[in-house]
Amino acid sequence: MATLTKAINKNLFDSILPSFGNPRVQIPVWDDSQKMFICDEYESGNGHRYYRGIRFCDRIVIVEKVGLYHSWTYIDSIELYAFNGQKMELIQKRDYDKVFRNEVFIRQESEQMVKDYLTGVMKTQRICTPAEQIAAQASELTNGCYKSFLDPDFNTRLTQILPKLEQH
Amino acid sequence: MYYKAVRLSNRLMVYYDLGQGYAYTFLNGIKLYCFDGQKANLIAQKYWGGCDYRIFNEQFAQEQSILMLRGFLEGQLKLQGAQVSDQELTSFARGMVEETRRKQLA
Repeated sequence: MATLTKAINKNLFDSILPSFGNPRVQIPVWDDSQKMFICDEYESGNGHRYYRGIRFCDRIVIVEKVGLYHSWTYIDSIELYAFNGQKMELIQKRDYDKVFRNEVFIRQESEQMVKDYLTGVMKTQRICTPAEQIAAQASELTNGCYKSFLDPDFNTRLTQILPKLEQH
Repeated sequence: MYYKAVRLSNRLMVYYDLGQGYAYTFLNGIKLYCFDGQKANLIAQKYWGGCDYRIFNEQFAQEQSILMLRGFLEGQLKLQGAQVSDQELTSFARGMVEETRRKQLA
């Protein structure tokens, strides 16, 4: 029984961490340090690597466009999406030029973008909402996106959204 | 002066981003890559700097690499709905990282 388990585990590990030359199973990569799913890796002709990072809760999706150059990591843009049924709609976008990627900075920017979106919508609909309430709501939504996938109480239903996000 | 250090095995690449200061060498970041055919895929990245700096220490860097690889494996297994014991996961991650440290000279 022990050898059977070992054999199954070996196959499992071989599919997620294959040796050079062997294909890897197509499963999205969760990076716990950056608290996001890494997808869409692209290497330019000059050898620079770019990738998209996705983090989400059940209401919003934050997409980061990251560029790697030598030993530095740059943030190229942050996009905020909301859901409309099963589709995603872009609601905020910020582009950066030569800005180093920094966890705290990304978090603050994301929260500010959610706040800006909510404030804009309230103004369009001529609804008066106290700034503290908007700030609290933005904070709650952003924090929800930073929940680690590895936490036991991560809502696994959310992972069903993942394939749809990757197609986008 | 900034430089990159890489250790590899046939399954994993570990990149260290190092900064040479006047008196210390700083560990600015660690990147882990796995292979997909002949391409490399980034699977985990962690970096320090500014007020949250780390002086380069081989032991610390190795432990961090193992934790990052373990985190990656845990995520992948969770997405596949597979169950592996924590102990086996950690020992596999440790084994993979130690394999990169094996001497490559014949």
